[in-house]
Amino acid sequence: MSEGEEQKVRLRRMLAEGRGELEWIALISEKGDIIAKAGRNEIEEDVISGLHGIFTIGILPDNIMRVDVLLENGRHIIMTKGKHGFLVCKTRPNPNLGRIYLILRRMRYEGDPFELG
Amino acid sequence: MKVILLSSDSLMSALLELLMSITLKDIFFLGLYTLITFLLVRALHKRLASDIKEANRALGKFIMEYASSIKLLAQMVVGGYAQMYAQPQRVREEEVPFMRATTLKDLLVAYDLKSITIADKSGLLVESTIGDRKRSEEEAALAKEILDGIQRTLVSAKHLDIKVPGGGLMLGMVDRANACYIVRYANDEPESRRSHEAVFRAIDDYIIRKYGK
Repeated sequence: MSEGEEQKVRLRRMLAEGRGELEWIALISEKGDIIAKAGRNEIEEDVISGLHGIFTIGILPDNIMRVDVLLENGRHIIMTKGKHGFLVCKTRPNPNLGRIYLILRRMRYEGDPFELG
Repeated sequence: MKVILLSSDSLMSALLELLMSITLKDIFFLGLYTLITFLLVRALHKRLASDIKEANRALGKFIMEYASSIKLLAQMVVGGYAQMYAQPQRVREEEVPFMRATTLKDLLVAYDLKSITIADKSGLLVESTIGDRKRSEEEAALAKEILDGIQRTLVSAKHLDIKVPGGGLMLGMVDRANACYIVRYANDEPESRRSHEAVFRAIDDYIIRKYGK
């Protein structure tokens, strides 16, 4: 199994663990390119580039671990920073954030190559 | 009985005759054939063993992949049901009332926050719990800059939470009051949605009541 496929399987597992809380999830490189993605809905690439921009505009502290954007429809877009990239996910409206943060954190303990915070 | 003895004697004598006729050459060739046969059998056995091992590995891999996809499917089905049954609990959580504060200091104490700064939509300071005027103005400008940055691509983004080690920032936009705000918290963030949103709702409500149209 190639590395890309392995990441895809891992993302699918995270989606399943989310039990419907997550609509899609994607691994992004430091430059903002999508490495792997999984989910029921189409990934909004402009959203990813927008969030990536927040990390790179330079007005925020360097040690950001996570950005959570609450949209008007109750959905959240969460971006977690790792050593070598980002993990972005979009939730369903009014999600269980505790569960989602737990899933994102768990990836770190399962030998995540991105070393997410 | 006698007949058997006689025939066994003749057999013995035949064997002795055969043994006597075996030469060194015969022994050499017999040894050689035995060695070749042994080597051939050994090579064949090795080959067969590696083939079987490989086949077992492939089968094992297939079974593991199959099992993981079944597990995924089961998790999805179970998750769906769990979500369906968890719905009433979620509704109850949302109905928890948030705090109606009269001053920013009340909110600061109630939610254990570090600072709250309110700015107008152009980034000018409106109100802050930070004592230092210059720092308050910088904070107000930062709130406007971050929210502008995010709204360039995510127009519907009204609230933002940025987590840094040991604390974080919470930013919000209140259109009804043409204002935005920035909150800093020092402790571990309130990770449940209720407390998370409660802070946003309480501050939004405060701003709308005090500065709203």
